[in-house]
Amino acid sequence: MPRWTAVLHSCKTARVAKSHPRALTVSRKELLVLELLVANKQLYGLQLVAASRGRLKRGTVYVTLGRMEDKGYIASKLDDPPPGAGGLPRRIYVPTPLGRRMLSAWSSGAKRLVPEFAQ
Amino acid sequence: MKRPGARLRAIAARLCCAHTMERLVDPTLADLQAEYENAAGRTRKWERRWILVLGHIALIRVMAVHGGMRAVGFLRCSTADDRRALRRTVGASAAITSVGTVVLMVPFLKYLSRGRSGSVELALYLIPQALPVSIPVGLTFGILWGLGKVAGSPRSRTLIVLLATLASVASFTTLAWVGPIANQAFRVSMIGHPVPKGVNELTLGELRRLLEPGTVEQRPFAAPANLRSLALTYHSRAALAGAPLVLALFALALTRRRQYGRIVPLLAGCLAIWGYYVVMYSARRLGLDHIVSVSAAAWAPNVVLSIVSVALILLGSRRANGPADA
Repeated sequence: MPRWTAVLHSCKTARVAKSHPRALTVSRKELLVLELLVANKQLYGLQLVAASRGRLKRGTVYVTLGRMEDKGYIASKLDDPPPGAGGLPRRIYVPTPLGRRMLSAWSSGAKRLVPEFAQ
Repeated sequence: MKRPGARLRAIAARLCCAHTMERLVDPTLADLQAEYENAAGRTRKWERRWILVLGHIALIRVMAVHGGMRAVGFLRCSTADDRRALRRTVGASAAITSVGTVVLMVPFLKYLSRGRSGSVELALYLIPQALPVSIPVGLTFGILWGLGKVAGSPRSRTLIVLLATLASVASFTTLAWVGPIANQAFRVSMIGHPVPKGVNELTLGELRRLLEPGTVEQRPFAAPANLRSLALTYHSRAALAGAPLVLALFALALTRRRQYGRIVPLLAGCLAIWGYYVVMYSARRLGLDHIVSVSAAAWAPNVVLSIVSVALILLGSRRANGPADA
């Protein structure tokens, strides 16, 4: 069985061009971000860091969010600029329909494969 | 009053594209400013300072992670020709550097008697004194060999410049600290008891301290008569670390167009390395004779070779842009 998996994997990766965008892949961090955004509807980057309880770091959260925006899982908009001159407006993130579908597909797939998830 | 992070944003704006600023830098700084504003209402000063520190660290991490990902993406997008050119260049450079290091160690191997305990350790101490010469030589011939037949794209050339910069950093580390420490360890191991350090056994920091006024008398060899020689040694160590980079630029200029074949660039490489050391020793003489300043004497070979490389690039560009029948 593992041999067949390896063969299938090599066929799959050989068919995919190297320049192919990694649009339909999702990492654990990205899933976590999607879970938090779906649960809270919209969050700032720092709120995501706080809500993740240490699983997201403030030094890398925007790199993850930027990548997810490129993949189309989330969207962002600028908040109102703060009162006073020179302040930068904060960016607020929301999940896109694709992101929601990705999360539900992954969750249902994971529940089917690993029954412990259903509990 | 300036908002926190404004200066860092100005620096980042010079380094990053608009997309990176919009997606990474500005949100991180906006968080920093918002947090700082919230904390401003409180009385605890240390908390605000801590927020500033954390925010700045976060921004530096964001930029470092982004830079790393860009570098990986840059490598991932390389073509088969790029990778082949790089493999050949790195392989040839490593092989020539290794052979060169061994060759430069040979004159000292006579001190290592057969069966003597610690001979391997003594041989290891000899490696750093050979590296500042073998690295630039190995890199030059490695580039000339690696790019001699394969057309190097701008991407592979950029990667080779990056490699040469790393080689220069390694060379500087060796010249500044590792080499002098290894030299002294070799002398102590050979003699069997502690011996005073000579000029070649002084690290860059020790040399600099010795050049400060009032400290000259501390060392017997650093009498005012050879203070200039000492200053020249200090500047030469930094300048010699630039040799891998300038020689690599020269080699890249030679291989920019494949009109010269492989033999001519290799001969030109030999000439360039010989010329580098001729200019280095001539300029040293001029520096010691007070004809030119010590820093000018030390950096002369790098400046001369850089000018030659730029001239070669310009000449190649002019020929490439010239009429087809010319």
